[in-house]
Amino acid sequence: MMLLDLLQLPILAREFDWGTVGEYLFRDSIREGAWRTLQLSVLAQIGGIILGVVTAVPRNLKIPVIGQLFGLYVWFFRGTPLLLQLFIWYFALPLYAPDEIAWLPFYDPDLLRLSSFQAALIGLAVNEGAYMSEIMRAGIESIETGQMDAAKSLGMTRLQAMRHVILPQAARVVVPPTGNEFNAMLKNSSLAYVISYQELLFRSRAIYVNNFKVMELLVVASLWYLFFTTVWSFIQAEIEQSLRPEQERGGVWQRVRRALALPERWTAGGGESR
Amino acid sequence: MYETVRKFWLLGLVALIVAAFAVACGDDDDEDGDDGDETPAATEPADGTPAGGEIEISGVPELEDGTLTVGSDIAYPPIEFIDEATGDPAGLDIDIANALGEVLGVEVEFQNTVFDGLIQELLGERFDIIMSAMSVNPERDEQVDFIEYFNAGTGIIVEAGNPEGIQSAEDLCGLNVAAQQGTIQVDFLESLNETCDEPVNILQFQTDPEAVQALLAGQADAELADYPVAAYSASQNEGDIELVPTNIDPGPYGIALRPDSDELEDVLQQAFDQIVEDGTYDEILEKWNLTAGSIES
Amino acid sequence: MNMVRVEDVHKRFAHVEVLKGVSFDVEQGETIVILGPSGSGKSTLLRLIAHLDELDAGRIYVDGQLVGYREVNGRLKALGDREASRARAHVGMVFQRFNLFPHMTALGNVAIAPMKVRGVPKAQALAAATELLKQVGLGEKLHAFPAQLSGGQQQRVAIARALAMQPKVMLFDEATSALDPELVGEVLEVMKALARGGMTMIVVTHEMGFAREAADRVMLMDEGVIVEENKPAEFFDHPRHERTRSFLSKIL
Repeated sequence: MMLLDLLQLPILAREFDWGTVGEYLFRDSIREGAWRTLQLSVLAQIGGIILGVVTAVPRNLKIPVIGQLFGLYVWFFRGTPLLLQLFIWYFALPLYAPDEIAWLPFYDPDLLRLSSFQAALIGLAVNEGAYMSEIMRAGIESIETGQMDAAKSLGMTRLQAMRHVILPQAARVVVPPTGNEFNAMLKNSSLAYVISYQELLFRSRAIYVNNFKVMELLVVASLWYLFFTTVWSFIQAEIEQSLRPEQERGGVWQRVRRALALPERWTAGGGESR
Repeated sequence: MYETVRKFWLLGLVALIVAAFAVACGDDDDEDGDDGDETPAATEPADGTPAGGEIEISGVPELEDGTLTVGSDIAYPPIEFIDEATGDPAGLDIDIANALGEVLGVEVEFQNTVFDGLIQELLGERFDIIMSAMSVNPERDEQVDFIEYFNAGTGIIVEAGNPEGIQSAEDLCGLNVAAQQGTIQVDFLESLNETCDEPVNILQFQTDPEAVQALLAGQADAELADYPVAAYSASQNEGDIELVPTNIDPGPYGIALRPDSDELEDVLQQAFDQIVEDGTYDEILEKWNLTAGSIES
Repeated sequence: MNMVRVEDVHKRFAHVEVLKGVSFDVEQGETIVILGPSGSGKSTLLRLIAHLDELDAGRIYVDGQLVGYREVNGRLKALGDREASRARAHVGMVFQRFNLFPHMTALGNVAIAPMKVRGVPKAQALAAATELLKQVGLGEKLHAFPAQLSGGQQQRVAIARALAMQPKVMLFDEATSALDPELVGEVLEVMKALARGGMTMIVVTHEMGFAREAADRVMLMDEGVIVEENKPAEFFDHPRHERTRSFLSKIL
């Protein structure tokens, strides 16, 4: 960290304390927070993908009633801020839930009192589901109509065609946008701090409200987020590559470049022969 | 045909960029760190007071512009909040600040900003002082200087009827308790946890009203805030919330100043002593029903 | 006993009437070739027979069964998805663009429908698929993906795939139009073999040679109606209608 002190650009008005960054970067509470951020993001993304697929198919096939209901779902959850949605799940739900519902005997209002984690997970997953639904729908529509024609002419029902012909092909198409969604999810998860979920940002704030090293702690948080998103970029690039076996894998530097979407000239060597 | 289409797109893009700049630059003029909630000129010298005040302020650099800028998180009734009727800040801190301004013969300008940014911004010279129901504590004392002006303790509010039967701090063990992140109430609960058999589940929110919401929604069994604020929340939600009649650990609020603002500290302390002496201070406390927190007691 | 009966069929897309009252029959085992300029409605007609689209007026029967509807007390009730799908399996279709499933091997393409639609056990379906692929001359390419096959090979897989469901009728919608000339022959050979084997076939094509050799009857369609219909020799050598003559003169 001493070395980094040399990075004090002489023009800065205030000294930035890299020592503090080093001190808190691997603190237990920060690491716990980072782990919880990762957990929340992965679970919410999986939930969102499932919701996305389930809601996209009826919309695409224009199944009456459910298709329109899901359309409303997408409209509402894409049309309102995530922050607002988190508030609704955590605060509004238990506040306005009726004490009892006559025609629902096993209804218990306490069930609607979601914990911070539950509200964060449900809120993020439901929100993500709306975006995934649009991505899936676009993916399905990108598959040429001839595929559905062929499936139908062989006697498949529309749902069978979806399952065996359309969705497997759409899956390949939606990998890049889905990967980007996860990247966004890693960061959106930070919003859960407002409903008292103790993820990375919450923990960083908890420290700096006491020692007032606001920027230093935010840099700590940023480093963790960067770490997660960078690792994901590599994973995503590998997944995309595996779906394109005909393309040259390339050396390490090519993979780095691909993962981080850097322009050609930035990394020398790796000798791409194409 | 394609040429016309491209020209349109280009023009549209240019128009968008110009508009964006116009908005951004326009805002800069009255931006200056606040988010639109500041009082333009919240004080006029009262009738009879000489325009220049009675205390010499010529040597105070912060007051050279004739304005005392105050940083505050204006979401903490009754200490500071935005009056619905007028849209202006109001509350105990506002009245005291205005009274001090009057004595010094300067205008008082409040800047609304998030609580955790306050000390940073003060040190970064965004404003002259902080008045935001800020409790004096050792960590803060290391970074800023304080002029104590009010005594507050911690109050507990619970669901009307007090179903958990909370009478004192110890009764909070094992329950869900809400508080605002960064306040001494959180510190208090954390140290309470060390003596509890069953730990308190501390729920932390970004503003006090949100913490109160958690209580109303049943997410929390109790909420902790500065006593006057807790009392206010209870009175605003009569029938849903009640105040537990116990004032925990009374401690002073302080006006925070930069360590190098010696001159300002000096004149402010003088001004404060004066309003205490001439009864203005007591009047203000009475107005807000906060006589119990007088610094004199 | 006719396998396919088309009765006064009308079809409109937006405000354009593409089929303006088409009627004809196809006997079992017959091979019918439909010729005509683009826009004449040939493909649309095939799609209606295959029940890939809904007709606006008229009726189509395949093997005595009304396509797309059930007759209840003289009123037509549209078939549900399940019933309609089952009926579609009896009409095999081969498309101009092949429409093979790119994520499955040739074997997979041919075996998938029998397995998933008719519940044929995997081993059996794969064995049958292997047989069919051998019959169309692709015994060496069982595990190739469509992207690894030439156009002619892909189309032969498509034919095998359609045959796997043991259809009563096979429809060919310009099956060789998208192929390089040197690959056309291998596909036509398969089609001729099928015709000889007694399959009922309706073929839309530009391949006059095939029409002469393999067709039992040739029809000309133009602007949504059947202009002329005859045995191949008569059709090509002694066309009756002006439009037929002008069409033939343009292509021959």
